[in-house]
Formats: sequence, C-alpha cells, structure tokens
Amino acid sequence: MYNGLMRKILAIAKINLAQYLVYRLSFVLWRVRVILSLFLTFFLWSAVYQSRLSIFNYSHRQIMTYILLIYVIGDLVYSSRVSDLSIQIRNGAIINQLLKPFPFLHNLFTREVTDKLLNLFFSIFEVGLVILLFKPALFIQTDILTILLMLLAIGMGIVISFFISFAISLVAFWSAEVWGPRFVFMTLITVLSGSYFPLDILPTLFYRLLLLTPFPYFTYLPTKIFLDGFSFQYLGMVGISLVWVVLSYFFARALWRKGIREFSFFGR
Amino acid sequence: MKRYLKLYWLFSVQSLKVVWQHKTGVLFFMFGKLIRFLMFLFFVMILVKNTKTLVGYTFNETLVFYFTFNVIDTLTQMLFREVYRFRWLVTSGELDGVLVRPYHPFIRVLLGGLDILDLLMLGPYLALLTYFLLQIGLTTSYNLSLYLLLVVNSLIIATAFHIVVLALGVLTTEVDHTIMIYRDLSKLAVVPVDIYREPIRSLVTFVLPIGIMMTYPVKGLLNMLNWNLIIVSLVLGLASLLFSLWLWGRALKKYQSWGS
Repeated sequence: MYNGLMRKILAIAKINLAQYLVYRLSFVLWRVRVILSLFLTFFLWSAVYQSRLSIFNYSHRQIMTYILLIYVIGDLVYSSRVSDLSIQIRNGAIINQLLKPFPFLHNLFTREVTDKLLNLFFSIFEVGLVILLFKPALFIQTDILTILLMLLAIGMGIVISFFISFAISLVAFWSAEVWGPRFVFMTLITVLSGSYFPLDILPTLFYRLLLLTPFPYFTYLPTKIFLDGFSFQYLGMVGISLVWVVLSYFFARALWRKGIREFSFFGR
Repeated sequence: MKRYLKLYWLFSVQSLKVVWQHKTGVLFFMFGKLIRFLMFLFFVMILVKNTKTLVGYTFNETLVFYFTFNVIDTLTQMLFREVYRFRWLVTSGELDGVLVRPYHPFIRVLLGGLDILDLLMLGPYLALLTYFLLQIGLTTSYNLSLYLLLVVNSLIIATAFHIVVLALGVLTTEVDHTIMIYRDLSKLAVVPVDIYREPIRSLVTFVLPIGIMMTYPVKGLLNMLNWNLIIVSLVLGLASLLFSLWLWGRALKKYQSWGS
C-alpha cells in the first residue's frame, strides 16, 4: 500500500514538472520578477552601508546575509500552487480532483512539494549568481544546533503559510471575491515577514505585537536564528510558531469540512 | 476629439460600475495598498532618519523621490488598467470586435478601464508630494516647470511601455508576466537609482529606461541635470513612443484572429 501511494505521488510530481516545462516561458518570467525584488533590497542596503560599518546593530556582513537568506527561505515558504484551488472551486474543476482514486489532499501536498523544490533550486541559483557578481561579505553559520533549529523554524513557516493560504482559497466555497483577502495576505507577507528589513528594527512595542501574529514566523525567525545562533529566546519563538501551526491547521480543517459539505456544482 | 472624450467617459463609467460590483474586494484591495505604501514609507523613513542621507540625498529629498515614483506609478496604473485585461481579449477573439469598431482601438484596449481605486490613492500621494516639495525649498518656477516637463516625459515613456505590452500581447498572447515585469522593473526606481552599481545603474537609467521615468523629474528639480541629459531624456521619451506605435502597427499586421 505504501509503495502504491509513493508511486502515485511520484507520478503526480512528474506531471507537475511536465506542466512547468510546457509553460516554461511563464516560469522563467516569474523568476525574473522575483529576482528584481531582490535587487531593490540588496542594493538599497548596500547603499546604506557605503558610509558606515553598522546600523540598527547589524553589520554589513550580517545584513547582506539576512537579505540573501530571507530571499531563499521566502521562495521555499511562499511558493505554492494552493491559490489555484480557489479557481478550481469556482469553476467546479475541483470535482474532477475529488473523484479521482487518490486523496485530494495528498495530491495538493505533492504539488506543493514539487513547486517548492523547483523554486528553491532556482532561488539558490539566483542567489549564487548575485554572490558571484557582486561578492558581498557573508556570514556563515557552522553551529549544527542552530542550523537544526533554523530548519525546524522553516518547516513551521511552510506549514503555517500553507494552511493560511489554503484557508483563503477555501473562501471560494462561499464567495467569488477571493482575490481581495489573498491580495491583503500577500501584501502583509511582503511587509511584515521581514523581506525588506529585519523586524527588530521596528519600535519595540510594534515588534512585540507583531510577534503575536503569524507573519514573523514565515521567514524572519529562521533567518534571525541563522544569524544570531541558538538561544532559548528563539526556542520560545519556535514554540509560538508551533501554536500558529496548530491554530492554522484547525482553522483550515474546519473551513475545508464545512465547505466540502456545502459544496455543489452543476454542468461538469 | 469631443467624440473620443465622450467615449472615454462612457468606458470609465462602465469600469466604475464593474468595480462597484465587488465592494468587499475593493475594501481589501485598498487596505492592502495602503499597508504596502505605509510600510515601505516607514522603511525608507527609518533608514534615512538613521543614516541622515541616502547616496547623498537628504531625508526630504529621498521622500520626494518616493512620492514622485508613487504619483507616476499610480497615474499610469489608473489610466492603463485595461492593459492588464488585454490577454483575454486576444485569446477569446474579442479583439476582432474592438478592431472593427469606428474608433481607435487604444481608446478601448489602452485607456478603456480607468481605475477608480488608483484615483482614490492619487489624492493622498499628491498631497504628500506637495508637502515634501515645499520642505526641500527648491520650488522656483524654473525648477517646477522642469519637474513637470520631466513628469510628462515619464508618462509618455510609461504609455510607450504599455503599448509595447499590448503589441507583444497580440504577437505572443503573453501579457500578464510582461506587464508585471514592467511593474517590478519600475519599482527598482522607488528610491534614487544612484543606489545601483554600474553597469546596472546605466542599464536602469538609459536602456530600460526606468531611471529617466522615475528619477529624472526630481533630479531636474534639484538642479542635478545638465541640458544634454534633459534633451537625451526627452528624445528617449519621444523615441520610445514612436517605437511602441511602430511595434503596435507591426503586431496588427501579423494579427490572426483567435478564439471563436
């Protein structure tokens, strides 16, 4: 049974990959868009450090590492096909998926993994290119415990991001206006998860309030762990992200159950 | 001309009615835009407040760059929103219906979808821009005239970009990524393009030419441009418009109807 499931997962992964190859121009153009956003933050921070050694308690080397690492982690955490789900719900195509002899959520999971691996491969390549061309000074973390905690935090970030994005897609069961909440979610991710700047440069009260939301746990926390090393403070923050994993899971599950029970469609 | 203005008015009213159908979406959209604007503004402010200058520009000057970018970007989106929906016109074959109408297709495919949401955002941007223009205290009539001339030149270049996107849409049906790449490229100039190292700086200034679009008006205002650069930027604006019109003509000649 396990072998059968694995075979199906691999087959779906191959189909996904084949789909990307069909729309390869779209994928390449998407990557061009992503790297342009990296250029802005990379050069903006480089310009800031032209006349100083340190700002906001970050050295030039730390901030360059932060910008490049958060780019790669962001690609891993945010790349997702789950937004397609809302379209499938609205046009009824989800019925085809639900009737297939393969659990729907396994299918979704396989698509997510393929998408993330592909985007991760390209983002590592792009960051490598930036390092090669502009030779920024970088900080290398060698402590195994720190790296393990960072990987754990990345895993949590991926799961929280997936469940929230999944829940937003499920809004399509009841409303055609999914793009609004998704736009807000993407905007909040861009600005509140530390893509432009490390969140701890914010005023203390705002920073502490922000830690109560899920946003810092997507990409900021893993990047900070890498830079600062293992500490119990960060272990506690990983604990908070675990709470968000549980909350987002139960929220998404409740929406899915309710939505699938009420869903009906004609004409397919 | 009067007929075109009437048509533009009709398309704009229609576009407003379509937007009004999605009231909740509009609220989310405005909220998202506001958050994005405020957070990036906060980032630039906190950065420049701490460093005193950004590549030689003071706090107020940097914010004039930022708001000039926002005004040009928002004006462009407000006027040319219909371009974002152009792909569907091509792939569904509906473009045929536009091309046979007795008016220039640009009134429909380029200008036919005035974005009221951007119009709402434009007010605060203009107010903030005016405030920071007054703060830098270089508002002689010569500086301001040059600034406005270069803003108009920016809008001409932006128009050319959008016509090129339409032409590429006809030739390849690829619109969505091309227009978003334009948006992402222009975002590179949300701060002065002087932050980029050579050859990227020259590339984004003269080749793309995002720098001329977003940065030159403020540089003109700050007396940082000599007449050679001003003339080069105006010629580039005109040349990009002529090129885009030529490409549009070529695309129409190659156009074969899609869809039903």
